[in-house]
Amino acid sequence: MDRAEFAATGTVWAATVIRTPVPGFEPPHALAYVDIDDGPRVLASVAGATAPVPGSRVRLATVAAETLTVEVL
Amino acid sequence: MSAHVYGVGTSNFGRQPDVPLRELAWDAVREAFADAQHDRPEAVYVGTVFGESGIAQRTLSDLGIVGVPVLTIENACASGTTALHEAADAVERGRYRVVLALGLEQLSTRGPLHPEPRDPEGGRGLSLPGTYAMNANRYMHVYGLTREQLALVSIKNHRNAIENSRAQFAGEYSIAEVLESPMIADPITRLQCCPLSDGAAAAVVGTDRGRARDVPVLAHELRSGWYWDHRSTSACGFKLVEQVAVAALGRAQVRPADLGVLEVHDAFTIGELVATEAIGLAPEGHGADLLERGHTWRDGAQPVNPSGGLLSRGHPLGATGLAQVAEICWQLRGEAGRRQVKETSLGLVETMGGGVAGIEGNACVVFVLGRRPRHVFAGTAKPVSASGNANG
Repeated sequence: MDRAEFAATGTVWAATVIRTPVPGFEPPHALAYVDIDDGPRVLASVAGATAPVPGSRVRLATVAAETLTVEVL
Repeated sequence: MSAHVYGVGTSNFGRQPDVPLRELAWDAVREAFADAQHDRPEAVYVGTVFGESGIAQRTLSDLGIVGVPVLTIENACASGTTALHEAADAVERGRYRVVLALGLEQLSTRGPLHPEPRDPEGGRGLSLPGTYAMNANRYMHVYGLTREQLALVSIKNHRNAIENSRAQFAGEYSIAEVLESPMIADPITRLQCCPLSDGAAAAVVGTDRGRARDVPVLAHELRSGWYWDHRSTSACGFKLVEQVAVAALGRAQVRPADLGVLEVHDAFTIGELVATEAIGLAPEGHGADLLERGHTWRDGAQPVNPSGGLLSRGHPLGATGLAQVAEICWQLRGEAGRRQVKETSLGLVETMGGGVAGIEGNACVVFVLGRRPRHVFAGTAKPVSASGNANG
């Protein structure tokens, strides 16, 4: 396995808002599958509690070991 | 050597925290033995997801089933059908003459299922309804699927369950009632989610003993998912169900249009649409047309989930697949009472187990049960058209 670097922007493949409790997450919690422009599809939290429409352009806002958050451009 | 289902049985389904799980299993096994007129299996394959260590032997020893090989199998929501898959395979290979497949689960004492936090998806808080909601959201965007069309799955299956006395839920709902029930994960509302259930189901499978009432196992296939192809335009899981269904139908030498009754994995409404398309009842993205045309309703050409499905009968994980098989056997024999579909000789069961991130599913199992319709020429794997002659 190798490390790879990808763009910080991508397109929403699908999104939802989780409205029931999941341990460690406070509902409502928006999540999106994001197709990174030159990379894979990743699951990311979405800033705010609204699900962006598929096709929306997003940018990575926070990347940490356990969290990945995008904001709608 | 072909395998035949001699008999099936189930418990009641629902929240039954005060009933020991083994008692639910006894109900299923006793009914299956009586139905099969056979109670001496040479081996037992048990499907369960959360059953404690030894649950199979603990349950079976009380029934006098001891001294034979007993295996416990975990394959997420497809655990029960995986147990039957292995049981049928063992019969076909001549390893045993008669095997009992049993599925059991008690979720009411356990509480809601949460995603595995060590998975990337689970670690980011994507609940199981959330994974299906993603597919529903994608379908709405790509194919123009509407919330109202999604709700039809719930309405149909809850109505079907009215005639199923063992179902957990049943009722006549309007589109507005389905859509206005609490939102779980957009666009999936509570009435579009399977409930937390307890239950058990069983099937006795064995070699051909020449009884017309036994249901032939024409084909059965099991796969676990390949990596979800991020370049694919299909919903997550679609390709897995399609692969398994194509393999099973091919082995059975029948076409999707030949199927007269189906039980598919409607853990959430979108699941039924994806499954019916992947099995080949409709082109990808057009599963909702089947509902709007009445095609998959109980009195339609190809009824889907006449039992009420997971949405209404309930979804005790390990028991679900065998409950689906029981319904198809009852339907094919004309024993489904007031929920009987029109006469048919051919049915299909599809169970999809998920939960692991990055792949299209932990397991998908498809069974083709019954007898080929007469217009299918048994000597060729090549599909023939309904109007064409069988020698074509």
